[in-house]
Amino acid sequence: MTESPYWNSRHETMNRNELGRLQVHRLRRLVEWADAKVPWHSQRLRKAGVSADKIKSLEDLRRIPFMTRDDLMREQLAQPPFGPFLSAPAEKAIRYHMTSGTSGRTPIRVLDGIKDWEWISENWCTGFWAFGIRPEDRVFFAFSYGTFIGFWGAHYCCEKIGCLVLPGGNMTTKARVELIFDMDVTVVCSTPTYAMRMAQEAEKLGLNLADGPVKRLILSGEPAGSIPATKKLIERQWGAMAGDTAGMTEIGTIMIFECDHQPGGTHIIEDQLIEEVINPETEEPVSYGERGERVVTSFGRGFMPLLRYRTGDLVMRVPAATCSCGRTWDIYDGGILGRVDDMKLVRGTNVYPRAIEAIVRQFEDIDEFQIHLYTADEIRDEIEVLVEIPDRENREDKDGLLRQLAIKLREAHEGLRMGVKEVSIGSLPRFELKAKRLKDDRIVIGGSGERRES
Amino acid sequence: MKNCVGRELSQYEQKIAEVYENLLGVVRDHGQEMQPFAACNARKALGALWQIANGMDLDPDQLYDIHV
Repeated sequence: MTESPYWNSRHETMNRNELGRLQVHRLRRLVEWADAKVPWHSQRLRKAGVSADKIKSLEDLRRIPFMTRDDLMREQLAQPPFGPFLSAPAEKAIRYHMTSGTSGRTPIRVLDGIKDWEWISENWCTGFWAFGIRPEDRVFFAFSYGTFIGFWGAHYCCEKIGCLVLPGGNMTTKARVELIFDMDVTVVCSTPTYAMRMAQEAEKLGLNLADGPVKRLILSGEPAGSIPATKKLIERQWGAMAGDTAGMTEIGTIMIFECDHQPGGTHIIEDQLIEEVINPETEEPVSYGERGERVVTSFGRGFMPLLRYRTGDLVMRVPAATCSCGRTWDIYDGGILGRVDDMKLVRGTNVYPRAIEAIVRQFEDIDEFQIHLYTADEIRDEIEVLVEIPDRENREDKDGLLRQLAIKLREAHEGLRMGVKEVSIGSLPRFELKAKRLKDDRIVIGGSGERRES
Repeated sequence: MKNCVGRELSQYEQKIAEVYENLLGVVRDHGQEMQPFAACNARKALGALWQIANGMDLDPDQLYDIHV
């Protein structure tokens, strides 16, 4: 095996024209397959006047109708458990997974075959290799290994690379931290939130992570992996490089990864997917540097073809040249910026949970936090940030931190006044997966009389 | 021998392509008569070879009909 910074150098450094030709070819094959094997797709494609032979360029992609999560949920409820989306009999599959359902919505169910799992792990390999993971690494997974797809593909990727894999399911945080030290683990995979939780646990145990064996962290599952302040905090706590990745159950794997040049964003795996960024209202494509919604078309997982799936993820695409690693795959600057529907309107000001986290994480004395929206005097929107500050008694300036935080939050939100309140240690929820730190208790949203539906 | 985007395959790539096609043929033609240990391991190997073929842009077909 040659030493290379790339998993598949030909694809990762392909010039953009050649990449476009490859994508068109694969798109044609995908449309052909979906059209022939999945009547649900076939009907929609026919209605839009799309067939494989009419796909001549990437522009033709835009003639394919969007798929949405609502489509998947509605059809799977109507025809349980998988809806009309399978291209092959379910008995030809080898694995079942479902979305985590943390948002309280009906979970999406998916199936995959043997080669699909090779493809799923392959995409993780692309990302892990780019971040410097090699066969000699010992990789620990702080992951529960359930029906949520999470790091499953990463686990197989590490076996494929030849790493020693330590599966950390069904373990306490204490046991996980101790195992990391006992086994000289060099790479840890977890959510950003849980990486911080393990760091706190290590401190409690008197173990100094920064002097420990871990050299790299692979983060996934939350946008925080690309929030500079959060990432910096995690890297400092662990004394290790942290690389962001993001995937989704609907495609079964990651679609973006951070390379070891750490350009402040994540490369898009463009040989296996087509990623579009659109204005969520007009549904028109946006330019480089503009925020918009991710739409994904996947060349893998033929078992449940995915064409132009609206993800609801908010991203900002920039050219590949933004990074010096030599890859020609474009980048999502700042990774996944949040959800299109994450934005809250508070007294006329846009508030994004991610932007608040970016400020809160600049204050390292703050452990956990929550953004709380509520209605005051039955009419007025209010926002407060609740924080837990361990070891408060020993800090010199007890209230200065809260004051400073309030000022920074206000300055970053067009002067919007936000309350900052300290709450007792352990009173805020902890998360292992997909942290939800925003609680919206408003009975009136936006102060304009729009009543909440539920 | 060229791949789907018109690139000439290297010597080792051609050999892998042949291995893939050969194993695919064996599983398709003899899958029913193979012992369980042989059939199941062959299918697993085929899944891995499929991924190499995909990475080399050989445009491999979907293989669900043979449980891969």
